[in-house]
Amino acid sequence: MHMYCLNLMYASHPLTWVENLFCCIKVFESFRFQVTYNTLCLSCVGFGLHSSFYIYIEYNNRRRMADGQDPKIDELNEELLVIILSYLSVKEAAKTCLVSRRWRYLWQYTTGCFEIYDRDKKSYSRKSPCSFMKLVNQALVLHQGPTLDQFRVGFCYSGSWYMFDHWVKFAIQKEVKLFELDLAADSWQNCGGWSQYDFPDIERLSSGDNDKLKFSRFCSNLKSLTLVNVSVMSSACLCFRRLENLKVTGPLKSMEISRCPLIKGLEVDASNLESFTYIGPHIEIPFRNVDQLSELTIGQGYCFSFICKPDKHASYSSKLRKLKLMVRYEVDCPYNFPVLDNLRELELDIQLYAGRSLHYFTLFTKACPLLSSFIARITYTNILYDEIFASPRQFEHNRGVHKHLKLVKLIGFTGCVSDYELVLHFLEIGGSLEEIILKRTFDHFHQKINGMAFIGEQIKQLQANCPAGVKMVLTFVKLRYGKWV
Amino acid sequence: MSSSTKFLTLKTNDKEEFVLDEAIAIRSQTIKNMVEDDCVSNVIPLPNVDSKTMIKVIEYWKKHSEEGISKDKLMDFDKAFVKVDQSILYALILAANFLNDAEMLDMICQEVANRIKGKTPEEIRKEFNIENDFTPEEEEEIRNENVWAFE
Repeated sequence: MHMYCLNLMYASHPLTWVENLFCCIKVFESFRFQVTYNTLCLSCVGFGLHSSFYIYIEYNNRRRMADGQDPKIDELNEELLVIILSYLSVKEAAKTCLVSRRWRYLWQYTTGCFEIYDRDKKSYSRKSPCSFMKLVNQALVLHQGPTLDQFRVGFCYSGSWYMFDHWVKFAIQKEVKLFELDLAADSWQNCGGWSQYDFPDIERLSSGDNDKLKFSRFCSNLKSLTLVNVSVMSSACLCFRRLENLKVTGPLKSMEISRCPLIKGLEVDASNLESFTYIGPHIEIPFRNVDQLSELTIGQGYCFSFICKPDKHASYSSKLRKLKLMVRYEVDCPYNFPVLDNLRELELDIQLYAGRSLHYFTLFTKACPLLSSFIARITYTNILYDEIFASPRQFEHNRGVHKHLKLVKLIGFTGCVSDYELVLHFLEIGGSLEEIILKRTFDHFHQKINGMAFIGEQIKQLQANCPAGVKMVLTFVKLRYGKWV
Repeated sequence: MSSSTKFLTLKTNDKEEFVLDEAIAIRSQTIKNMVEDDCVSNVIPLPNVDSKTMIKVIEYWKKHSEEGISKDKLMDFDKAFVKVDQSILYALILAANFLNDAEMLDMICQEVANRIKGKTPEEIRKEFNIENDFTPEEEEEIRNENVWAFE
C-alpha cells in the first residue's frame, strides 16, 4: 500500500478543514486511499482543499502507471536505505552515489567495512605512496557517519617519509571494531623493506573531551587489530578489553599483550622480536618467524599449556634465554618438560595452596641445563591444613647436580612445607649455588602461616643443610627474643 | 487453549484481524513494549502494516518460534523466505521497522543489499526502477569526487 503525503498548514486554515478532509476522503473512497491521521501532514497555502486533493490524485495515478502498483525502493526512508547499504562494504556502497540525487550522499552514512587496499594489481600499476595516500585521505574525509564497523587500509610501503597517525585517528574516531593497517599489502617481495612507521601512542592522539570518549569506546570495543610492517614501540600499550584477534607483523622488538580476556587469535610474525609478553587464555601457538625471540613472559591459560603440553611449544622454547611464568598451580604437572636448552633466567610468579608441593619446579630447573638464576614469587591463596604440617619429601638424587645455577631467590618464604621443601631441594641439587635469598611477604595467608610459627625451626634446618660457600640471605627475618620473626 | 497461553489480536491497516499467541507476537519489540506497559486492551492496531505483509511476518515468526527446529532448517526457510518480489521485501522492511523486529529487518536488508551488490549504477537503476536525475556534468563531478570507489 502506498503512503502519500498531503501537506496542509494549520496556521492559515481553520482546523475544521481537517474534518472536511476526512469527509472528502470518504467521497473518494472508490480510489481506495488509505489515509490515517498520522500520514497526513498539511500544507498548500492559497489552494482550496479540493484543488490540492486533485493534484494529489493526479500525482498518484502517474506513479501507479509508472511502476505498475509495485512499491519502489525509493519509498523507503533514508535511514532504512542507509541500513541496507551498510550491509555492503563502504566502497560498494559508495558506488551507488551515481544512482540518483537521492542516493548521492547515502553511502557517507553507512557503517559497514571501509576497506581501501592497493593490491590485486600488477606491481607496475601500483600507485606511488603519495598518490595512494591522497586517495585514501580524500575518501576518509567524505565519510560522515559517526561509527564504522571495520577500517582496513593497506598498501606497499617502505621508508620513513610518511606518517599514518591520521588513519589510526580515523579508526578511533569511528570506534571501529576491526582495524587493519597493512604496510606490506599483498607481498613482502614487492615491498622492498621495513617501513619506519611507529604505531603511535593512541592515547596521545586523543586530546579533546570528545576524543577521549571516542578513545575509551574504541579501546573497549576493538575486537581485532592487525598491524603489518608497522613497528610497535614497547611504550604503546595495547589494552583492549574486547580484543579477540591480533596480528602483528613488522620490525617490532618488544611487545606485550595482557588483560585481553577475550582474545582468540593471535599471530606474531616478526623476525626482530626479542621480547614478548602474553598473559591471557590459551590460544594456538602464535609465533612464526621469531628467530630472535629470547625473552618470554606468559601467564594464565597459555602458561598452563606451556607447562602441560611442552611439545607444542618446542619450536620457540629452545631459543629462550629468559622466561617468566605466571601460573596458578593447581594440578599435577606432567613429568616431561619444555625444551629450554638456552634458558639462563627463570622467573615464576606462582599462586597455590599452602601445603601443595613445588617439587615440580626443582625438576623443571634441571631441564634447563644452563640456568643460572631462579626467582620465584609465591602467593598462597589458601591453606591445606592436612598437608601443611607434612614433612618434606626426600629428593631423588639420580639426576645429578646442577652445574650453572648460581642464584635462587624466593619471595614469599614462610617455612611451610611448600616453600621449605623447595629450598631444601635446591640446596641438594645446587652444586654451583652461590646465593640463596629468602624473603618474607605480608599477604593475608602468609601472615596466617607465619602465625603458625614454622619459620624458626625450618631456618635452623636450612642453615644446617646449607653447604659451605653458599650465602644464605634472610630478609625481613630476624631473631628477636629467641624467636624468628 | 491452555490457561497459560495468552492471545493477542493484531489489526492491520486494511482492517484484517490476526489472532496470535502472545509469546510469538512479542518477537516484535513494539508489541512487547505495549504488552509490558499494559497498553493492550483487546486489539492492537498496526497502522503501518497491511494484511498481505502481516501474513508473511507471522509465517516468519511462527517458523522461528518452533521448538527444536534445527539451524539448517531455519537457514533453508530464511533463504526461501526472502526469494520474493522486491515490492514484498520493501513492505516487509517497513513492517519489520515498525514492529521493531531487528532479526527480521537484518535478514531482509541483507537480501536487498545482496541485490545491489556487484552492480553498476546503471544496473542498480534498472533493477530498482530508479530514474537518473543527474546531468552528464554532474555525473562527471560525482565520479571525480568519489574516484576511490570507481577504481
